[in-house]
Amino acid sequence: MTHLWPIAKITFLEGLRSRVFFGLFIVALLLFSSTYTLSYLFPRDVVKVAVDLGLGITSLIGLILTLFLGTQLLAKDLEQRTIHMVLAKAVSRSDYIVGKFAGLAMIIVCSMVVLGGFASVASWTVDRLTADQYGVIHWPIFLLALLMMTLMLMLLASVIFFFSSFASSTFLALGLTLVIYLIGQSVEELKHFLETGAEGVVISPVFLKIVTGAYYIFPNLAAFNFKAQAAHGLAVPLADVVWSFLYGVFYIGVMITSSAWIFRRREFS
Amino acid sequence: MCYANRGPLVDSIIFDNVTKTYSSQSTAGRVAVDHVSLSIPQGEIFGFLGPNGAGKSTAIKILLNLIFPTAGHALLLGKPVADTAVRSRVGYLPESPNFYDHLTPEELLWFGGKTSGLGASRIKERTDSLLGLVDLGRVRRQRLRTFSKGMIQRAGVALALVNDPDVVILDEPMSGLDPLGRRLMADIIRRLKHDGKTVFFSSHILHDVEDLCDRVGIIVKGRLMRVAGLADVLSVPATGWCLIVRATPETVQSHLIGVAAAYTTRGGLTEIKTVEKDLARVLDRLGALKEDLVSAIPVRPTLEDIFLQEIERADGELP
Repeated sequence: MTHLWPIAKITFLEGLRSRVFFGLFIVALLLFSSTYTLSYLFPRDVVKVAVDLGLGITSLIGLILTLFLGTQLLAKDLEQRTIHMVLAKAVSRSDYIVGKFAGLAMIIVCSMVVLGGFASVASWTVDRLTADQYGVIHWPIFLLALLMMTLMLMLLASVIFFFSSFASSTFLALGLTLVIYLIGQSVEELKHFLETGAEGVVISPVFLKIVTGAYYIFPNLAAFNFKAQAAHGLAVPLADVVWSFLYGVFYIGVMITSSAWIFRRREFS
Repeated sequence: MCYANRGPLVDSIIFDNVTKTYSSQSTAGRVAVDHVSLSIPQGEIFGFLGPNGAGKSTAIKILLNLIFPTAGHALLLGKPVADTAVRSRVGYLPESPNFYDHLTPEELLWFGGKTSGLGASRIKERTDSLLGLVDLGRVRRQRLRTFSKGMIQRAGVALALVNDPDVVILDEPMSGLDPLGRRLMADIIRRLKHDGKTVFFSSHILHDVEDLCDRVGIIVKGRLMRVAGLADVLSVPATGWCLIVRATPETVQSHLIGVAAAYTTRGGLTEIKTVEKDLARVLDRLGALKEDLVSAIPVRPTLEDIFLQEIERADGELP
C-alpha cells in the first residue's frame, strides 16, 4: 500500500480535468442561481424550500458526477489498456483499486465542497432577502446533511468499483449500480411499511423475509439522508449520526476489499 | 552505469516451461504460449521474433504478471513475476501505448518515478535527462492528448526508463515510428546495452533485430522454434555469390553461355547470381568484363530467410 498517493493523485487530476466535471458545475451554477425564483413559487416556508432545493441540487449533481466518473475512471483504464502501464510499475492490484478509489473520493469531496458552498450561498441569499420570519437556516444540520451526502456518494462509488471489477462492460456496471441506488433509497421504507403493516393488507412472510434480507445486503442509502432535518431544523440524535457514519465506512470497506480481491484474480490481456 | 560495476551475472529473465491456454468463450482452448523455456542473462539484448499472433505479447504480459500462466513459471531478476516489488527494477513499453492523456510528460514521469519508489530530487533529475534524451523537453508541460503517435511512443520510452531499470521490456518498440524515431530508439537500446541493462524486445521488423540483438528467439504459434546467438545464425557459409557488372545483360550473357547464372538489370548494371562452385568459372568467363566488375558479394541466409524457414517448419509440425 505504498503507491496509493501517485495513483490517487493522477485519478483526482483526471476527474478534475474532465469536461464533464466542468459541464456539471455550470449546470449546477445555473440551478443554484434559480433557487431564489423557485423558492418564491411556494407561498410559505421559503427558506426551508431554499435549503431543501439547494441540498437536492447538490445531491443530484453529486450523484451524476459519481456515477459518470466512477464508471469512466475504471472502464477507461481497462478499455484503453492504460492499466497495463500502471500495473507494469511496482503497483499491486490492491494498491491500484484503493488508490483509484481514494482519487475518486477526493473528487467527490472536492465537488461536495464546491456544490455545498453554492447551496449555502443560495440558501443564505434567500434567507437574507426574504421576510420569512420563521425561516432559519440550521447550519450545523445543513453541514451534517452535506457530510452524510458525501459519505453516501463515496459508498455508491465503492459499489461502482465492485461491479466494475468483474463486469465486462461499462453499461453493465452503471446499470447494476443504478439498480442498487434505487433499491438502497427505498429498502428501509419498504421494510418499515411491511413490518408495521396496513389495515386489510396481508403480507406474505416469504416476501417479508426477502425484503428483510435485501435490507441487510443492499446499502441502506436512506440512512445518509438528512436533507429533511436540515430544511426543517429537526434535531438529529447523535447515535443516528454515528451509526450512519460507521455503517457507511464499513460498507465501503467491504466493497473495496471485495473489488481488490476480484481484481487480484483478473487477467489483463 | 558501467556494466563492469554491476554485481555477479544472473539470469534477468527466465521462462520455465511456460504455457498459457485461454479459457474464455471466444478463445477457448487456444494455446497462446506453448511450453516456452528461455533464460536471458543480464546485459543481453534479446530479440523476440514472431509473426502477428505468435504469442510474443502474451509472453511479455506473463512477465509483467498481467496474465497468469496456465503451467510453468516465469522469473524476473530471480524473483517470481507475481512479486510486485521486482517491477521497481523493470521498465516496460507496451505496443501502441496508451497513457493518461490528461497528464503532461512531466506528470507522467513523476507517476512512474513515484510508483518505483524514487525520491523527488531523483525524479526531477531523471525527468530532465530522459525528456532531453527523447526530445520532449520543450513540450514537458503540454498534455499528452495533443501529442502525435511518435511523441507518445517517446514519452512511453521515458516512462519505461524513469526508474533506471535493470530489465527493459519493449513490445514492438519501433512500430509507428518515423525513421528518425527508429534511429533514436535504436540508439537508446544500444545505450542500455552499454549500461549493462537487459533488453527484451519483441518485433517483427527483422532489420532492427539484426541490427541490435545479441540473441534471437523465434516464436511461432506459441512454440519457441529457435533460440540462437545472432552471430551463430548469420555466420553460415555463403550459399552463392552476387556479382554486379557495368555492362548490358546481352553482353554478360554472351560471355557466360553454358554457365548456370541468373541475371537482373538495374540502372545500367547487371546483377549475376551464381552458386559457390561456379564462381571461379563465371569470373574466368567474364574475362575482359572483369574491369567493369562493381562488386562481388557472398550470399548468406538472412535473418528473414531463417525466420521464414521457421514459420514454414512450424506450419508443417504444429497443428
